[in-house]
Amino acid sequence: MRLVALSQAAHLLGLAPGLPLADARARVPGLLAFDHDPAADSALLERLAEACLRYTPRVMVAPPQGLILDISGCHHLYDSNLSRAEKWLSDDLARRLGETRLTVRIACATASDAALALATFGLEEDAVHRLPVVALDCAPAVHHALQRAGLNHIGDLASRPRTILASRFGEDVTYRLARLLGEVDSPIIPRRSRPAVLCEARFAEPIAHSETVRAVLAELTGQAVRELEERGEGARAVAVKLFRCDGAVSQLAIETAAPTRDAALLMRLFAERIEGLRDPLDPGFGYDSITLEIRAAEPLAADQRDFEASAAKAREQLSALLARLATRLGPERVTHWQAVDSHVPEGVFISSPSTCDGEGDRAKRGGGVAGKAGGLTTATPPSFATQMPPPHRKSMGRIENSRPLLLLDPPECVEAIAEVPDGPPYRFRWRGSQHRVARHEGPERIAMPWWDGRHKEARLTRDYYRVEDSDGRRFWLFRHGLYDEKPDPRWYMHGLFA
Amino acid sequence: MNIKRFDSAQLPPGLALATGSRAFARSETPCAGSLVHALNKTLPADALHEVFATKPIDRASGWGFALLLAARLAAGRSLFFVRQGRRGQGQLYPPGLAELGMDPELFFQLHAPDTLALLRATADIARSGAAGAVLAEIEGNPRLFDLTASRRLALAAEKSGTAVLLLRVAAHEEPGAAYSRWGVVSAASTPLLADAPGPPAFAVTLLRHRRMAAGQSARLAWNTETRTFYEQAFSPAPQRDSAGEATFGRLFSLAARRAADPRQHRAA
Repeated sequence: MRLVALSQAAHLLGLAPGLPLADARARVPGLLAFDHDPAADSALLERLAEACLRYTPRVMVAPPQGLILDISGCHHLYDSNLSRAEKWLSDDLARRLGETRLTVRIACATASDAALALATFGLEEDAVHRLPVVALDCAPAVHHALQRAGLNHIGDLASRPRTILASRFGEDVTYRLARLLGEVDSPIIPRRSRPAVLCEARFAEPIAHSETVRAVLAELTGQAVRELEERGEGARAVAVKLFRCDGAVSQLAIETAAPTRDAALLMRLFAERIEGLRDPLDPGFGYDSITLEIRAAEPLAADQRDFEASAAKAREQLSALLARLATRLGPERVTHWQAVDSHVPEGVFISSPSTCDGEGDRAKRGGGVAGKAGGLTTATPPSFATQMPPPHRKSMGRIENSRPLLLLDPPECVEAIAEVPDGPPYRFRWRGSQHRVARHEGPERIAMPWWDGRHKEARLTRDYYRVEDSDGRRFWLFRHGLYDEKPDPRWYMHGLFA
Repeated sequence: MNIKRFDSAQLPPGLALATGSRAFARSETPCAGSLVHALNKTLPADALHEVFATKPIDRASGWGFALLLAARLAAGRSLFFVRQGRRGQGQLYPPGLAELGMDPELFFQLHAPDTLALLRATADIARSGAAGAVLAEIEGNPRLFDLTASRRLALAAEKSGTAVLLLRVAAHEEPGAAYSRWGVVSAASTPLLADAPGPPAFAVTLLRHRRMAAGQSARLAWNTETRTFYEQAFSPAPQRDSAGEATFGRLFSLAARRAADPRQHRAA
């Protein structure tokens, strides 16, 4: 076990990350060590990033312990003077994070990489030249080579011609140097892309009354809907953030099955969502601002009433119903099937949430409107109709029943006895009861995809038999593995026929 | 406790029907006719129907029968089925549905976390009228599904025109507001060439019906092309002698063959 991160006090005692725990204990007997939990760390970082959205919408998480805030274009909201605004922002951030008893280092720079490096190495502004070469974050061997050449600081590198550096230490060094010095753009990948529509309400006094919150929400929804109407779009995903005055942020997100501009529907979905929360909204000392953002919007033409009214109404009803169910039960519980191009019995379909790409896409497909970009969708999407008939099953021009109605996933092991080793089962025991095979058909041999790097056991060929037992129940059994693949193949129950 | 026994067995068919609440709302005359006729033609879509698969092993047959009925009642509109997610019960398999002549694209599935959510979701779907049919699987006899809950579903179906079907697996009959109740057990199929198992076959018993005498039973199969049920001609079940052993290549007399006829077993 090794040390991963240390408190400042431990650093002062001469410990360093990477040191074995036993050595560290030998040096500092009273050392308090806790298990490293990367998931909790990143969750905390995510939470902090969420909280930092109050300063700027462009926040990027820089693991393992950094946050990058893009404040260009935001500072004038705090102070007309740039440096005073920066100072105010840093102070405010330090104060708020300090309240949570975190050790914070803040640096401002023109390039995001430079700001991160300055904060990491604890230097103040405009000291990029004094950063150690380790700040380049190249391979350790490169850092070592640079130091052996007597180049210890970024400033030493910056003053030298780049071509020489590149030829001796590699292209990577000059590229990273340029990013540190702000010569090339170091892009920020914000946690959240810019919402299509953002409406915000700020309050002079925090509000805590749920009725008031609802009224504000209705007002914001109305605003957003008006804006969407002007743009000819409808909302697919909406999120509301309630900023509590003590810094906690609660979020309500809803999704709709089809683009909508129906403010009443959105409000109903929000009411459903609030009702379904496991722990009800706790306003605490009140919310000081509420934002509503349309996360995803899709084109929605202004609709004409009374023309094909019944079909449109039915579609609208269905998508409203789907949205309501998904909001209450969770989108992963309301699904529909999508065909997948595969021959493996359990892989021919996936269940995808109905709200994500349900009615809209299907309606488009049905209506003959081209889907996405024309060049990309050359192949027809797989459908259940094309998966059906293996040619040898077509007898008398009719597809016989070759696939079960209920599929057991995973297949269940059965004890089966066959008359001949590679023949159909003669009788089998499933879930504790004995079944005698009266009729059978098969085998239908299905080989697993060899190109998948799967476990050897999962690549065995399956011989499927359709059997009917003496009580008239029909089953789908398979023998897992051919005799030359496996000496003693087992039998599995994979499905039940109606 | 058991209402079905009371109305079907002792009373003449016409009298038994007046007990249902709808009998007063509509002028209903008892309709005679076979189960096939009832299933294919006269079963109303705006009502609650229950399908009982008493043994868990008949779950697939129950699903098959209920789905076919739902698909017929939905008449091309979308279908919802609501289940309580439990492992080991098997999940519906879209290629299998497609083979029975249904369009998997029309189906939406809901996995409810508990019985309350299941009943709420079913009632919601029935009330909204957006779907053609909703099919819910209820395992056993949960306390939450009482007369009130069943009446609520029946009213929602009546109002919106969405057929509500309940698949009751491993359940016994209780008083309820269902328009019709069907008991389903899987039956031996008509064999195909080379003695291969044939298309789905159900041994169906009418347990309750507002306008028909209960107690009839029939062996039904499904015609994928015309999308109708038809009465299956009796095909000799695989023969067994008294010890339960399959009789492969053995000769037996005609009398022995008759004794093994399942129809006579049922009548007895």
